[in-house]
Amino acid sequence: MRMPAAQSGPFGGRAWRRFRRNRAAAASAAGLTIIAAACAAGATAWRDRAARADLSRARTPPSRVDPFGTDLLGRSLAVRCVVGGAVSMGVGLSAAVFAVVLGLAWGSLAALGGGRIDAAMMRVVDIIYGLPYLLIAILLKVGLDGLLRTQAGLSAGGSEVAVLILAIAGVSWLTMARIVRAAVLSLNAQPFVEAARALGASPWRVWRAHILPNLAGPVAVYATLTVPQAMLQESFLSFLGLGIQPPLPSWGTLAAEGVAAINPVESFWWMLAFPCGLLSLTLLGLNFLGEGLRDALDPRG
Amino acid sequence: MIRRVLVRTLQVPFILLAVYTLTFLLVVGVPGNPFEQGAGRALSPVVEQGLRQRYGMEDNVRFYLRYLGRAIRGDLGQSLYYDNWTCNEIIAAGLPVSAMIGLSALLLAVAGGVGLGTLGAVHRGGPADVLALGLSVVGVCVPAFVTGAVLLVLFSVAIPVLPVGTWGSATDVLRPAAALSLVPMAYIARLTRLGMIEALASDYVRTARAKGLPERTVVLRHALRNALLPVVQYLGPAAASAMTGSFVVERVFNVPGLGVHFVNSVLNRDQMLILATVLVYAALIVFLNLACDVVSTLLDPRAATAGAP
Amino acid sequence: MPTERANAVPAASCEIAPLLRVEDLCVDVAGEWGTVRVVDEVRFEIGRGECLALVGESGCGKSLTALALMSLLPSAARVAGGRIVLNGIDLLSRPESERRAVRGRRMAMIFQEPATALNPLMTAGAQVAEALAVHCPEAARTRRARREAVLAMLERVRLTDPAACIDRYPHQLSGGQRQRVMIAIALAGGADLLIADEPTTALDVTVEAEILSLLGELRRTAGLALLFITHDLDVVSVVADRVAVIYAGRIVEQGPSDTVFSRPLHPYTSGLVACVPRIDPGDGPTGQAGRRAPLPQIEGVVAQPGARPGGCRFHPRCSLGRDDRQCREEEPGVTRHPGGREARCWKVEP
Repeated sequence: MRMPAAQSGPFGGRAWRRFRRNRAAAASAAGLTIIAAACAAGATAWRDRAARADLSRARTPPSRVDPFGTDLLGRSLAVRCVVGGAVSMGVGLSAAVFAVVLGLAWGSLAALGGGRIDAAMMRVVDIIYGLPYLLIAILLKVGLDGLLRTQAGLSAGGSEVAVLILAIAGVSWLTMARIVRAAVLSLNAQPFVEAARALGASPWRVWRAHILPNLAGPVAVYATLTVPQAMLQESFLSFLGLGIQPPLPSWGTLAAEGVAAINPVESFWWMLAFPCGLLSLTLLGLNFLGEGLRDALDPRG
Repeated sequence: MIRRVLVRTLQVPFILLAVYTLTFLLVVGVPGNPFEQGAGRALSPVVEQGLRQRYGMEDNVRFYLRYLGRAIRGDLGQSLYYDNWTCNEIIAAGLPVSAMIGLSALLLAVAGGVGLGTLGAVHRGGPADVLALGLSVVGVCVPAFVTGAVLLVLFSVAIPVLPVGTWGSATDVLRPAAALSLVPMAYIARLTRLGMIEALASDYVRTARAKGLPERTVVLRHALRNALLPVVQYLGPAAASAMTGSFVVERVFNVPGLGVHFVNSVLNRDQMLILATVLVYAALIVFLNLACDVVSTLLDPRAATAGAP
Repeated sequence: MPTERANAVPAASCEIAPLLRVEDLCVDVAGEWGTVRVVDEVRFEIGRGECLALVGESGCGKSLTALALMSLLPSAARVAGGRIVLNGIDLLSRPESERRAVRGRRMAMIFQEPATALNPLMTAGAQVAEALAVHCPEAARTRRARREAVLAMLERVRLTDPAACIDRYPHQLSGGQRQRVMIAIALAGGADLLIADEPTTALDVTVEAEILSLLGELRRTAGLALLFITHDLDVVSVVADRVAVIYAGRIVEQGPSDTVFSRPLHPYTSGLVACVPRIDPGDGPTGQAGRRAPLPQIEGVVAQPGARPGGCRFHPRCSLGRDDRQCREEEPGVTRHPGGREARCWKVEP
C-alpha cells in the first residue's frame, strides 16, 4: 500500500513562482541554456576545426573572420572556446552526476546506519573536507591514471577524460553527503516513514519509495551547486596541465595558453579574456541558479 | 574544553597517517614506472633494479614503512627527478615563499572581508552594502587564476608599474596575494555581513544601546565580537582554499613556491617529492584547522560547556 | 484579586510636576502592506516615585510605546507625532545625541528575555562595569574601583553571592539572576525612571515575586519611578499605583489601579478582569458556589493594525457596542471621571 508523501512534490506551484520572481536566477537559467546549447551545437559541428591551425594567421586580434581572434598556432579562438566549453561543461556535468550519486549513497547509508557507522562515515567526510580539494583531486587522478593505463590497457584521450571525471567526482561529493544525511535523518523521524516500516516494508523499499522522492528538493539544489564546483576543479586541473590534455581544448587549458602568451610588449588580451570570461559567466550563472533554487525550495524569510 | 582540544590533538597523527597511506597507495602503489621519463623507452631491468635499490624502492611495503620512519624523523627523502636535491631542500626553498603569499592573502581577505561586511551591514543599502553583496556573490565564482590573470595583465601591460615575473622584493608578494585573497574575502564578507545584520538586530545590542553607549562602541564591542565567531571558524577552510589557489596563482605569476614544485613533481612522476609535499601540505592544514578550532572555542564561552567535540 | 498593594506610595509625591508626560504619541510602522499607525495618540503621565502599569494584549502597541520613549525603535518604525516630556524637556524635539545622553542616565529600560538581552560573550560583571563607565567615569578609573562599584550595584539588586556572579557568563546564570543583572545595568546611571517591558513574563512565579519585591524596594529606597508593561493583571495589582489599559494602539481607560479593576469603566477592562481565572474553588466567576463554570472570554480577536474597524475600535467584540450606531460609526473621545480616571467609551455614565 502506498502512503502519501509528507509534502507534495518539491516543485509545487508556490516554489516555482518564488523561483521565477528571482530575476537573477531566471536570467541565469536562460543564459546558461543559451551557452550550453551553443557549445553543444558548436562542438558537434566544429569538432575538427578546433585543431585546424593556420600559422599565417597566428595571434590576430578579434576580427570579422575570427570573432574571438586566433591563438598562437592560428587556430580560431571562437571555435576553440565553443568546443572547450562543451568539454568543460561536459566534464563538469558528468563529474557532478557521479558526485551526486556517491553523496546520495554515502549520506543515506550513514543516516540509516546510525550510531557508530554514522559517526565513522561522517568523520571521513569531515577529514576529507578539511584537506585542500585540489590536492586530493590531483592525487586521485595520478592514481586512477596509472591504474587504468596498465590494467585496462586503454589508450590516452578517452581514458584521460574518464579518469579526470572520476577524480573530480571523488572530491565533489562531500557537501551532498552532508546534506543528504541531514535530510534523511529528519525524514526518518517523520510519522509516515515510521508507518511504512510498521507495515513491514523492507528498508530498501522504505528508502526508495518514501525517503528518496522527498530528497528530490535538496538534491536538486545541491546538484546544481555541484556542477560549478566540478567545473572549477576541472579548470584548475587543466590550467595546471594535469587535466584535459592538448589538443583537446577546455576553458582551463585555453586560459593557461592565454597566460603563457602574456608579455610586456604585446598583450594578446583576447586569448585570456574570452575563455576566462566565458568560464566566469557560466560559473556565476550556475551559482545564481543554485541559490535561486535553494531560496525557492527552502525560504527562510 | 581542554578535553575537547586534547581529543582533537590526538587525532592529528592518525589523520596524517591516513593521508600518507592514501597518497602512497595512489602514487606509489599503483603500477607506473617513475623511472621511465617521458620517452616511453623501457629501461633495462638491471639499470632499473639499481635505481630502485638506490632509492630504497624495491619492495612497496618496505618502502612504505621505511619512508614513514624517515619522515617522522624529518627526512623526506631524495627527489627522483632533481638528482642532486633532497626533498627537504626543495621544500625549504619553496615553503617560505608560499607561506608568505598565503598568509598575506589571508590577512588581506580578513581585513577586506570584515571591513566591507561590517560597513555594508551598518549602512544597509549604501555603496558598501552593494559592494559587499556583489563581492560575496561574484568573488565565489571567479577562479583564482582568472583573478591572477586579470591582475597580471592590469599591472604588467596596462599599468606597467611593477616588474612582472621576478621574485626578489617585498612588493612581489602583493599581486599573487591579492589574486589569492579574492575567494576567501568573498566568503568572509558574506559571513561578516550576515552576522552583523543579525547581531545589530539582536536583543543584547538593544540593551547596549539602552545603556546609552555610543553607536561605535555598540557596533565594535558588542555586535562585531559576536559576528566574528563564524569567521574564525571559517579560517580553516579559508586556508585550504588559499592552498588550492596557490597552485595556480604561483604559476600565473611565476613564483618559485611550493605549489610549483608540487605540480612539477606530479608532471614528472617524482614519487618521493609528491609524498614529501603532500605530507607537508597535510600537516600544515591539519594544524591550522586545529588552531582555528582552539581559538574559536576560546572566544566563545558557551562552547566550553557544550557537549562532545 | 488581592486588593492590598505592598508598595503603596503616598499621594503627596504626585503633586509636583510629573517626571514624564507623554502627549498624543503616535508611532507608525512600515510593513509589506504600507504604513500603519500602531500607537495612536497615547497620553499618560508618571510622577516621581510613581508606578504606572501599561496593560494590554500582545500586539496592542505597548512595547513600541516604551521603545519610542527610549528612542530605540526598530528601523521599520518611527514616531509620527506627539511629545515626550521628561523633566520638562521635549525629547522628540532634541537631536539624537541628546536623546542618547538621556538613555541610562535619566531613563532606563529592562526587557522581557534576560537570556538574550545580555551579551553572551561578556561576563555579567563586565556588562555592569560598562554601564557604570558610561555614566560614572570617576568610579571606573582603576580596576579595583570598578570591581567595587560593580559589587555594590549587584548587592543593591540583592544578588546572592555577587562576587561569583561578576565573572560568570550569562549562560551560567539563572533567569532570576540574569534579570537582576539587567536591573543593575539599568540603574547604573542613576536613572529616575525605569521602564520594564514584561520583565517577569519569562520567569517562574517564585522568581517573579522576588523581582517584583526588589522593584518595590528600589522604589521605596531610591524614589524610582516605574513604567511597568505587562499583560498579567495580577502583577499590576501588586506593583502599580495607576494603570492604563491599551487596546489596538489607543488607551481606553486610565486610573488608580484598585478602582480600575474593582469598578471598571470600559467594557474591555471588564472583560479583562473577568478573564482572570480564580483559584478558590468556592465561587465560579458567575458566582455559582461549588460549580466550575467555563472560563469567560472576550469574543473575537484583536483587530490587525491595517484592518481596524470604523468607529470605536473595540465595538465588534463589545456586548454593549456591537449593535449601537454611535459605537459603530464614531470614535469616542476621552472622558474624565471622578477619582482621577479617564475612559474612551460612549457607554460610560459620566
